[in-house]
Amino acid sequence: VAEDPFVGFLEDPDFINVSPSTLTVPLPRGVGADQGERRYLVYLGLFDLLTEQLVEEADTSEDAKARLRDLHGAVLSVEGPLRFALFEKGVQSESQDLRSRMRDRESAVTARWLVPRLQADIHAYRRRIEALERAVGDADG
Amino acid sequence: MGEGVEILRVDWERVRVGRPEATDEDLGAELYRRGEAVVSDREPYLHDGLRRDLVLRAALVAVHRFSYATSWERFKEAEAREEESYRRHAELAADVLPPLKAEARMLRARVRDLEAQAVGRGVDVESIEHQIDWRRTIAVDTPSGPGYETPAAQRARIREIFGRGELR
Repeated sequence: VAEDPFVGFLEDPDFINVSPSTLTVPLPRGVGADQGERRYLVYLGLFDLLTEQLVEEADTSEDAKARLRDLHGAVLSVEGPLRFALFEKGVQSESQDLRSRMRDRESAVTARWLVPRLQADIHAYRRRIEALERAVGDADG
Repeated sequence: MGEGVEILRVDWERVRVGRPEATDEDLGAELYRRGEAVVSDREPYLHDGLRRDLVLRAALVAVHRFSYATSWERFKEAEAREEESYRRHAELAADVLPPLKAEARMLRARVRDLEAQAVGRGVDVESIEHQIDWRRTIAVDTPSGPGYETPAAQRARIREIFGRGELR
C-alpha cells in the first residue's frame, strides 16, 4: 500500500488540476450496461478496498477511527465545491455553445444574404447613376 | 472478461499499488464485487457506519471528479469555439459591412441627386433605364438624431418632454 493512497484525492482544489488520463478497468461479463453505474460501483469498491487497508494497517482501532473521521471531513469539504465547479462549468460551457451557434447563424446570414444583397444594390445604383448622368448630359446638350 | 469501464488513471494507481500481484482483470472484478456489496449493504462495516459513509461519499466525489477531468477538454473547446465565432462576427461587423454600407449610402445619395438634377432639367426620370425599386433595397441611410443646436436647446426640449420644470 502506498503511504497514503488518499493523497491528491481530497486536496481541494486538486480536482481541477487532476490529470484527465483514463484507463479502462476490465470487468466480468454480465455486469450492468450503464457506464455511470459501473463507474460508481468500481469507485465504491476502490474506496472500500482503500479504507479496509487503512483500517487494517492502523495501530489501534482508535487510530483507524481518527483517520477515517479526518478523511470523512475532507470528503465532505471537497464534495460541495466539486459539485458546484462541475455544474458551473457545465452551464458555462452550454451557454458558450449556445452563444457561438447564435452568433455563427448571424454571421452566416450576414455573409450569405446581407453582403450579396448590398453588393447587388451597389451594382444597381451604379447602373442607374450611369443612365442618369447620360440623361442629364443629354439634357444639357 | 471483455467489458469494462473508464476511470481516472490516477485513481486506478491508488489501488493498484496495494494489489501488485493481482491481474487487472482480477482487480477489476474485485472492485466491482466490493462496490455491489457496499450498495447492497452486505459489507460488515466497523466504526458505526463512518467507513461506509466515507466510501459512499468518496465514490461520488470520484465520479464527479472523473466527469470534471474528462470534460475539461470539452469546456476548453466550447471556450475556443465562442472566441472564434466572436472573431468572425467582429470581422464582418467591423471590416466587411461598414465599407459596403458606406458605398451604398454614397451611391444612393448620388442617385437621388442626379434624379433631382434630371427633374430640374425637365427630364422624366421614370423613363430613364435601370430604375430602382427602393422598397427592395437595403436601407443603409443612417437616421439622423434631433440635432440640437446647443446644449441649452437640448435641455429645453427635455424639459418640454418630461414637463419637470427647471433641470439642474
